[in-house]
Amino acid sequence: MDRSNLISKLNEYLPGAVLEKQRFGRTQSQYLWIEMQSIGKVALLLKEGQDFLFDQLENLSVMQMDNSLVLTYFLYSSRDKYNLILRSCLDLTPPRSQTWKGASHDVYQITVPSVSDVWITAEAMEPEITDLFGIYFLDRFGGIKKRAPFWLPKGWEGYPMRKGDFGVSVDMSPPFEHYEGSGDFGE
Amino acid sequence: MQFAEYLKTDLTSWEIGPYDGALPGTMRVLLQLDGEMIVSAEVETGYMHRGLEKSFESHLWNAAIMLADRIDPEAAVFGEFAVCLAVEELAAIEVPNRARFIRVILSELSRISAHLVCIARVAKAVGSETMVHFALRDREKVLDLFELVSGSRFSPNFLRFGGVKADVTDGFIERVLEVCELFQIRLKEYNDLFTYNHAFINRTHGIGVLTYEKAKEYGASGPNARASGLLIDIRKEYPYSGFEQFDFEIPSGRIDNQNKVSDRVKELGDSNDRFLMRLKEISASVEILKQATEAIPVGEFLNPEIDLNFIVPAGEAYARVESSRGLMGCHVVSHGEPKPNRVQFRTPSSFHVKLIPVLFQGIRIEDLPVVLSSLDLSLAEADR
Repeated sequence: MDRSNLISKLNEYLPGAVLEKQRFGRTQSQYLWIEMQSIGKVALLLKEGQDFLFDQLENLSVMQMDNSLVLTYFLYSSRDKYNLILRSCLDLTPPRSQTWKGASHDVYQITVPSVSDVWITAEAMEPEITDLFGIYFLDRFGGIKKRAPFWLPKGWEGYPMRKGDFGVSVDMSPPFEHYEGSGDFGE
Repeated sequence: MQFAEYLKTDLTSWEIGPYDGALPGTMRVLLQLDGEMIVSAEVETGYMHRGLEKSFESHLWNAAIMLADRIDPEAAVFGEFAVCLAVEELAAIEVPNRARFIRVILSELSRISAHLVCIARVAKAVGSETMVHFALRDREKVLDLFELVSGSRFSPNFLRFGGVKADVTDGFIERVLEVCELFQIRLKEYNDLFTYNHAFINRTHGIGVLTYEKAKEYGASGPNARASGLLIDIRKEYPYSGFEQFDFEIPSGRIDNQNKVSDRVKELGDSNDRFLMRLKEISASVEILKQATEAIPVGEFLNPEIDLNFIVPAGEAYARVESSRGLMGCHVVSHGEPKPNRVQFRTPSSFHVKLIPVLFQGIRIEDLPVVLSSLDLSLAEADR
C-alpha cells in the first residue's frame, strides 16, 4: 500500500469522511480525523478494502478535551506492517442548554456506531468505555449493544471518567445500594 | 418411542465464580453443559475494577509509576516500563544507556517470574504438586533479586522518567548471572519431570485449541499468540530500550525457522503449546539477561535534568512493550499541567479473556482449569 495515497483513496471511496490529517505526538505517524457517523463505513473499508487491509484494532482509547470526548482507534495492518490512527470527536454539550447535573444519564446518553462487527477486538474495549465515559455503541440495526461486563458498583450513576460539569451527575453518597453505613465513613 | 429419546437430557447451566479456586481471578463464567461437555460459555469481568486509570488523573506525574505498578501486580515492571516510555517520548527525555540495560534486566526477570507462576498454575490444574513447588521455589530466586535491587519483592516502583530510581546494588549483576545458570539447569529438570510426562501430555495435548485465525481475530498477543503461530513480539517489531542490540530468537511454537507452518498445523495452539511457550520464553529471557549483564555500561542511571517537580509538556504519546502476557500499550495525554490528562492502558488480558468462550466450546468440564491456567490471565490488568 502506498501510504501517501491512503487519504486520497479514502476520500475517493467515502467523500467527506476524512476531515483532517495531523501528526501524532512527536512521531512521524499521522492520524486522521473521521466524521463520527461515518466511522462504521470507514472501519469496514479499512479492513476489507484491498488497498488498506487494516485487519487489527490494537487499541481504542477515549479522552476528554474540554467539552468533547475524543475516541482514538489504533489500527494495524499485518500485511503491510503499518499502523494507522483514526480519531473522532463527540460533543458533550447537553441539548436545550441543560446541565448534566441532576439529570438522568440515560436522557443524555451519547451514541456512536460500534466497530465490533468489523473488528471483534472492539468487544474487549467498548463495554468498558460505555460504563466509564457514557458512550453507548450502536449495532448495525441502530440498537444499543448489550454490555456484558460491569465495571461500576450496582447503583452507581454518572460516568466517572468524564470531567468538570460533564462528570459524575448525581450525589456521590451512597454509591452502593446495599451499603447501610457504619458511621466510620461519615455521611 | 426410540430408546435414545429416553436418554435425552436438557442442557445444564452452571455458574462459576466470581470467587473460585479454578479461576485465575475474580470473574464469573456461565456455562451451558451437555453432560460433562461444555456447549457454550460466557464470561463476566469487572469485579476487580479499581479505577486505576482515573487515579492517574488525580495524582501528580511522579505517582504515575507507582500506579502503573498496580496494573499487573504479578509482573509490575511492564506497567512502569510502558508509562515511562510514553512519557519519555512525549517529553523527549533521553535515557542513559546504563538505565536502559537495567530496565531490560528487570523486565526479563519479571517475565521469568510471571512465567513461573503460569507454570505453577498449569501444574496445579493437572494435579502435579511437585512441579508447583519446583516453579514457586525457583521464582523466589527471582523475587530475591527484585528485593535486592529495589527493596520490594513485588511492586518495585523502580523505574523513573529518564532512567531508574537507583543504581543496581553491589553484587546484583553477579547474582543475576547465577540465576541464569541456575535456570539453564532447572529448565532441563522441568522437562524431565513434567514436560514429557505422559500424564501431563494427556491432560494438555489438543485441549483448548486456539487457531492462528482466531488468535489474530481476537487480538491475542504474547506467548498465547505465538503458541498459535502468530509470531509477533514487540521487542522485535517496535524495539525499545535497546532490545535491538540483543541477539535472541522469538520462541515460535511448532513452526520451523523459515516461518513455514509444519504438518502438525492443526495441533498448534493447544494448552500444551502455550505451556511449552512459557518454558521457551524463560530460555530466551535467560539469553537476554546474560548478554545484558555482560555488556552493561558504566555511567549515569538517571537523566539529571529530571527532578521531582518535573512537568510533562502538552502533547500525547503511545508506547508499546512486550509484557509477559503480550502486547501492553500505554496512551498518555498531557495538557502541560502537574497531573496527567489521560493515561490509558491496552492490556493483553483484556483481549485474552474474550478467548474463553471460543476455547471452552467442546472441552470437558475437568479441562476448564487447565485451559484457563494455560491462558495465563491477569484479571487485575484486564479490569484495571
